Amino acid sequence: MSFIEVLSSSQILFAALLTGAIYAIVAVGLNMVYGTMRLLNVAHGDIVMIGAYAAYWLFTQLGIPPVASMFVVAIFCALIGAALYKLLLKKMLARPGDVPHLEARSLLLFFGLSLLIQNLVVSLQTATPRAYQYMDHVYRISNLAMTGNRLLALLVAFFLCLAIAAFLRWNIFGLALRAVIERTDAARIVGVDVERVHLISLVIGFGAAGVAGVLLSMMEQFSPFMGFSLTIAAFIVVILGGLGNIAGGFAAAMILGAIETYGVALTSPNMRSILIYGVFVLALILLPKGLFHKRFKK
Amino acid sequence: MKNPASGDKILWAILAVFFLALPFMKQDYFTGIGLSFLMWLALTQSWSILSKMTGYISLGHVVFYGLGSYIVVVTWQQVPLWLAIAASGLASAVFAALVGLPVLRVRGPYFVILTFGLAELVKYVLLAVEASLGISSRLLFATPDITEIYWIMLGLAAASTLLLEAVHRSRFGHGLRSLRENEEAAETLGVPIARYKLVAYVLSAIIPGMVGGVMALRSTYFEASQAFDAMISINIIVMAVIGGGDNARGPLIGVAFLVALSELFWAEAPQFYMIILGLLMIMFVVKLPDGLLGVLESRKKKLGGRAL
Amino acid sequence: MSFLSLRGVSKSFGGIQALTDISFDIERGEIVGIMGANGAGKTTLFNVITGHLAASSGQILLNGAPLTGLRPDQVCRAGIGRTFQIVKPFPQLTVRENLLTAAMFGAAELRHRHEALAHCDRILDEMGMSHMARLAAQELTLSGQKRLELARAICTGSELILLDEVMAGLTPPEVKDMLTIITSLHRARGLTLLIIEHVMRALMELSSQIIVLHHGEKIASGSPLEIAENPRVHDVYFGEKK
Repeated sequence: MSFIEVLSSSQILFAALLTGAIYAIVAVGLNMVYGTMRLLNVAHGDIVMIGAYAAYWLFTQLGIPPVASMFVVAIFCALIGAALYKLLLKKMLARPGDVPHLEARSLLLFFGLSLLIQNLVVSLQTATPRAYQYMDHVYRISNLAMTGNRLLALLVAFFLCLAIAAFLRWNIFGLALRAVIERTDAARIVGVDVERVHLISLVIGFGAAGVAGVLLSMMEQFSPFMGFSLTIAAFIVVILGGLGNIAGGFAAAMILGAIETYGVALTSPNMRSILIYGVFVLALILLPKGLFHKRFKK
Repeated sequence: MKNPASGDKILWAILAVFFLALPFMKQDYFTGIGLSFLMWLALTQSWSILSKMTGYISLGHVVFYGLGSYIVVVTWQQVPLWLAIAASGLASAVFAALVGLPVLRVRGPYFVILTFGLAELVKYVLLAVEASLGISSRLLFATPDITEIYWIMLGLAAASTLLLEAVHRSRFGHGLRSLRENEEAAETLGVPIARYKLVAYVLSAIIPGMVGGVMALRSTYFEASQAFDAMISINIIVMAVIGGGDNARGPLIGVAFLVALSELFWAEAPQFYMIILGLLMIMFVVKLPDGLLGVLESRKKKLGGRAL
Repeated sequence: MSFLSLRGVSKSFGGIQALTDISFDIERGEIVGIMGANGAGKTTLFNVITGHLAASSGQILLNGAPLTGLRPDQVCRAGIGRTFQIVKPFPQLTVRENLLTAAMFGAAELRHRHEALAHCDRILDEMGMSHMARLAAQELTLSGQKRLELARAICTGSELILLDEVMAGLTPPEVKDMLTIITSLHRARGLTLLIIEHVMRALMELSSQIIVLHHGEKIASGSPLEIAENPRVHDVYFGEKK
């Protein structure tokens, strides 16, 4: 396809929006967890994977359609987040140790967790990619063709982003969250229950990741190793959008979705990984504070 | 400090004798395990020069290994062996020197994931390059036999041990440890932190490059996804974490532990092996941050040892 | 030629002017105090001198040689040591190892461990810290860590030492101890000191000259007595007479 054709294709635009929306809900969890706890959860993508396999299991074994099971899966993943906090993280965070070493070491911990989760799933489900059919009736609007599941995924993803954004904007938790992200010790002094903010961040973040997994499982093949590239994408979003900047994260997710989709359309599918990792490396090197960082800071 | 130093010397002497004698037993299986051990020792000790001494944890060290492999494979039988291996070390060092400056400005966990992303990026670029040349994998013929390869690897392991110890005892090494503890304070006391970090990074890259080159000869096969397999980076970190310490002894423990573990499980039940790996990582990070070496040293202290 | 000379030094961060046109001279062997409310720019001034921040304009000269553009490690080797307001020890290294870094990399540049350690041991002795030499820095109390911070700066072999609120957080007896240590070190080693302090008593006792900063500007300088009587200083510190 020529350059102009690519840019004006509604098909590709739809794909870009969908990719962006999925990245947005995957990244929001990472953003909140890293923002509040300064812990780099490299196992975040594996939560998405768990969501995908959970939806698969519920659909193929119990006949529950994803449109219903996504609520169950969201709660299930949220509970995993709560358990992780209560059992492991609370202790690690309470230890005063020096910050950069704590962060780097906790990354190794999540790494171990990732190995654990991925290989548990492999032993339960084998490494072969899986898929299932659901709502794959094709709808057409002029020259845009989309399957029902993709349309549903886009709607759910957007709705979830709006819901989270609204919650953070209007609920007092949102204020507490921003306070903890900016200065945890100061937030504590003014009475914010920091532990509760940590817990809720994990719960919302993991729940959203689970839903992303359900959505992805409807549309594409999934395997126990699908988490990796999603985690990378989520990191790019968090870095580009600015740490703890949820709105910035949504915008960055859409940008990344566009770069990836249009980039691949203009070159080839082989370029996808190069594009993603290329943006990743450049973002980390060039933008320590994110694209949307407010210039004024103390 | 008579006792610890001579105890160490005895340890290394015993190991040297053991590894020198191993090939003469003519048991390829054991030579293979010995080779594996020496390879991981060389990799982990080199990694420690950067990551243990400066605290900048590299999760993408396989990039040097892969680059080294590639160099040896594309120059195979066009240049003498020693030159190819030297070139693989040099290429890694040059790569490290080039990317080091921007990469090392990134701190803490960001650095960790950046190194990972960098390794993946190089892997995919190389895959694309090979694909554009119409090559999906490369085969090597008339490669040295396992014993020859073993001797080269023994040399590399000896080199990495000496290098790590030399760094550890030098003024340079003390500067690295200082900047690990507090970069700003170190700089204020006169440590040229940017330069030192870069030197550490380059030093940590040379031997892994050569190791990669040698292992390409061992497998007689090059395919970018395998040569740049993230599991290599992961294994290095797990061995280093289990071993503990920032000197040459820690990796001995970690490598021995993991080589034994993989001999037991990797062939039959790779998932089980990885699950154990994951559990070990979690356990060591949470409960034993100083690794097994740390456990041994605190036992020694309780029995009346001394600190500097 | 003065030992340390600042000429028209200014520093701005985007729209915020942290330092405006600061000029002063310090002679060798002097103890000069820097006074000012929080946010007056005192630590920024230190950061500009030691190279942690680049001055937006102006000149800083040490023995006539310009310090502009030098990195912090280069400034240290030129002969300037400093302590930080919030102490920055090397937590897992021992007190002795902390000092070793200073001895090996500072202006003293004692590259051989042996010599460097001897140098450190002498200073530990001088400061009455020999008993804690083998403790890890993180095991020290705040008072111990403040003394470590000072010892490290001395160990670099610097002739000019910048002390940033080295008494902050200390109890009155600890302040008295620190005063004694600083005075004896100053005399024994012929040091030049630039001191930021809120503990007025210490500042008045130690300094031969005091410079007062307010909102990044130098509003007064002179002997402690002159400063104590200066009406502008009174206004700034106690509010204008209404």
